[in-house]
Amino acid sequence: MDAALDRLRRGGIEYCVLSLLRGGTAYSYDVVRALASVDGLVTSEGTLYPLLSRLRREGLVHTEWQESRSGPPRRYYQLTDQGQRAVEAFSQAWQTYRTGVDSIVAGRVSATSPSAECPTDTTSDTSNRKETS
Amino acid sequence: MTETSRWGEAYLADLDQAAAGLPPDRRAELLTEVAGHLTTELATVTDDDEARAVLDRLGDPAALVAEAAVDLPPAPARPAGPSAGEIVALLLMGIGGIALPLIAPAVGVMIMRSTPRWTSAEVRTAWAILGVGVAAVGAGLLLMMLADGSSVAAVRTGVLLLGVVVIVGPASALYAATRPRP
Repeated sequence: MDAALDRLRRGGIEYCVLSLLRGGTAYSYDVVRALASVDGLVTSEGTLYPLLSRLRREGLVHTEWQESRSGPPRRYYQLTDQGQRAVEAFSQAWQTYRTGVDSIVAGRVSATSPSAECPTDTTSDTSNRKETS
Repeated sequence: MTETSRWGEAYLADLDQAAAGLPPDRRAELLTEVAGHLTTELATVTDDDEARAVLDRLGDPAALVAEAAVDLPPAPARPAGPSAGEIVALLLMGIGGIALPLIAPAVGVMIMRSTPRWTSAEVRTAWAILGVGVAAVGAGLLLMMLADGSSVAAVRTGVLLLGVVVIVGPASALYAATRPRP
């Protein structure tokens, strides 16, 4: 189950990173801080740095160097047009997906027969297709 | 890396070693970014517990390296033969061991440690072998001193022990060279 949760996190996290950049440019550390401040989202803060690098290689973000008052120059991240489109597409797909998962998890949709005593009853095939909205 | 404290230095050293198999530019970028993170995070840290919490949140270096390698081909292209650094390390451990016993092999092991050829267990084994070499030289010198320095038997013992030391380098070099993969 932990592995399944990990996969779920991994899939979602890169869109969280992209969504965080919608407002403009951000220093990688501030992206990491923002994500880490949300409970249960990030298990290893360090993995976000290679993730950001990968998003750059994939052309979803680009970076520029800016001088820092407290150390070496820093890499600032910004969405590319492609990244912007990816976030918008994800945002829509996510709403649908989340609503769907919620309805299953909340038990509003069922696949099991309501009468557990007669599992061989084939006449009740359609009786469980009651969907509430 | 500017003011990362000793906790940060240790973590970065581990990360650098774990990232030895990454393409050089990826390795450098990962190190730079994590060093920046640690500089900021550790700036206000004053005790071991706080530092450990920072490093725990950062995660296992291996996890960071795995994430950095996620979009690399599953079997990363390995150099067909040993790299230049590995050749230098092997020479130091082999021929270097005859010219400069212990010191040259030690430098060789340190170079080897920074390449992906050896696992950390193998590096430890190499250090252990060198440690035995140091002990052997010490024992030889002690024997010579006890035998008043001029005794033929003691000199013979010393030469014999030095011979053991000289064998150590080539032995470990051979081991490294015959390993089929990094």
